[in-house]
Amino acid sequence: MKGYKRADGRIGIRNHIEVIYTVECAHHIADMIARKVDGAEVFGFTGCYSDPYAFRMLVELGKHPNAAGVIVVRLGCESTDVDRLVNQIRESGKRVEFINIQETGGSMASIEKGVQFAKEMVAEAQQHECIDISASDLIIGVECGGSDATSGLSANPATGWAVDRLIEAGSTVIFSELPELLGCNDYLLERTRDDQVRSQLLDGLERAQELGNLLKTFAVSSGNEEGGLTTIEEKSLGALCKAGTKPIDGILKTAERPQKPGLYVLDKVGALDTNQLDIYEENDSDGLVTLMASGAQMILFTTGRGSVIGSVLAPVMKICGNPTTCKRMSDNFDVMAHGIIEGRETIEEVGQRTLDTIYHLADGQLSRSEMLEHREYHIPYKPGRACDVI
Amino acid sequence: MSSIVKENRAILLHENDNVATALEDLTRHAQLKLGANPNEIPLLQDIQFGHKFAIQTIQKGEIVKKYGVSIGMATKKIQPGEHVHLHNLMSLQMKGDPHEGLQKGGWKNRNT
Repeated sequence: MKGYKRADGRIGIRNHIEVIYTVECAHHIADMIARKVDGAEVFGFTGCYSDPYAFRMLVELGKHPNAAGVIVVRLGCESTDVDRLVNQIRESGKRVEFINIQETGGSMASIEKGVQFAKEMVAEAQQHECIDISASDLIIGVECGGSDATSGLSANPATGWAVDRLIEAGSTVIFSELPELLGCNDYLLERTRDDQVRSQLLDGLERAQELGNLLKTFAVSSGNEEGGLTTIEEKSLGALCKAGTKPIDGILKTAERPQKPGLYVLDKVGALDTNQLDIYEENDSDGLVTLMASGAQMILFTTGRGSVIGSVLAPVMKICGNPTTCKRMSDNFDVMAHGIIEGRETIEEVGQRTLDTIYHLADGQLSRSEMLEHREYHIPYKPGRACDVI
Repeated sequence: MSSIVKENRAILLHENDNVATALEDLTRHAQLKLGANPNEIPLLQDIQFGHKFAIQTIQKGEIVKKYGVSIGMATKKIQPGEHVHLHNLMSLQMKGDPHEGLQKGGWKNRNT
C-alpha cells in the first residue's frame, strides 16, 4: 500500500487540501474555493460563538494526515479564536493559510485569493512523496448507522472478523458509541487489557447509562424499531459484533489519539451536567467526525436499513447485510454482506472480502461514498457535555 | 454469542435463547423447526423479516434472551409463535425497580 508521511510523522492515505470555514458566514466562500479546485475539500463550524468541542474538532481535522495543506476562511468578527486555530493546526508542520473576508475585501477577492492558495497547495501536494505503508500504519474507525436486526447477523460480524485480522496485523482500530453498548457490560469489561482500562470503561458505561436515564431516551431510533430491534440491549449486542473479539487496549476521550496500535473505545459521553444535557451524538456524521479527530484515516460503516453518508477527508467504507437494502441501494455499498442472511456465504468469506476492500481503499481506490461525492461533515455545539477536551 | 443454529427461514442465535429472528417475511400458521426442539412452532401471527418471535412460553417478568444473553424483560405473558417487540418486551437499562416498570406497561426506549 502507498501512503503519505507528513511533517509530524503521521501517515495519511489521502492527499487533500482542506478549506475550513469558521462560521456559517464564511461557508459559501469556502465552498466556492473548493468547487474551483480539484482536490480541495470543504467543511467547517457554523456557529459564531466559540465552543471548545467544535474548536478542538477543527484543530484535529486540520492536523489530520489525510490533508496535505489547509486554508482557513473566516468572516473576521466571529468569536472563535481563529488565530489560535491556525497556530494549532500549524503545529502539524503542514502549510496553513487563512483568509479574513472582511479584510480581504468581500466575496470576489476572497474567493480569488483562496483559489490561488488552493491551486498552489494542490500542486505542492502532488509533489509530496509517496511511501510504502503497511497494516501497522493504519488507524481504522468503526461505526454503524441505520441498524436493523440483520446488522448483528451479517454486516457487523463480518466487519468484526476483518477487525480481528487488522489487529493481528498490527493496525489500530477505534470503536465508539458507548450509549450503544449498554447491556453488553459484562462481556465488554471481560475483554479489557488491564484493571485501569476496565475501570475507565466501566466509568464510561455508567455515565452512558446515567445519560440515557436523564434524557429518558436510549439510542434506539424508530427505524431501528421498525427493523425489528426492540431494546437498547438488543441493538448493543448486534453493534458490538463489529468490534471483533480482541482485547480492548485503551479508552480514548474526545479528540484523543491512540499512542500505539491496538483496539480502542472512544468515550465521548463526557461529564454529566443536568443543566446542559444534549443528545450525546446528534447523528451519524457527528460520529464520523469524532473518529477522524481521534486519527482514523478510514471508517468502516455498517448498516442494515441503509446509509449514504460519507467523507472525503477519511473515506467511509459501507458494509450492508440486509438483502432488500443491498438490492435497493446497491450503489452505496462497498461490501454486500447479505449472502450471510441468504445462507450463500459464511461470515469468514464476507469478512475476507471486507478486509481486502479495506486494503484496496487504504491504497487509494475510491470508496463508493467518495465516488458519489458524499461529504456530510457535522460539527455541532456541545456545550458542557462531551467536550471534556483540552 | 457462540454457536449459531441456522434454519431456513428463521434463526436461533444461541441454544439458550427463547426468541428466534425471522430471515424473511413469515406468515401466520407457518410451521418452524428451530434449534434442538423436535417440535415445529406454528406462528400465531405474521412476522416481518428481522423481527422476533417466541419459541416457548415466556412468563410476564421473565428475561428474554437473544445471542444467549438478556435483551430485556417480558411485560406480559408471551405464547410460542407470538411476535416479541415493543408491546411485550422492555429494556432493563432504565434505573429503578423493573417491576414498577412492568406495571406501567414497560419502559420505552425513547421519550418521543
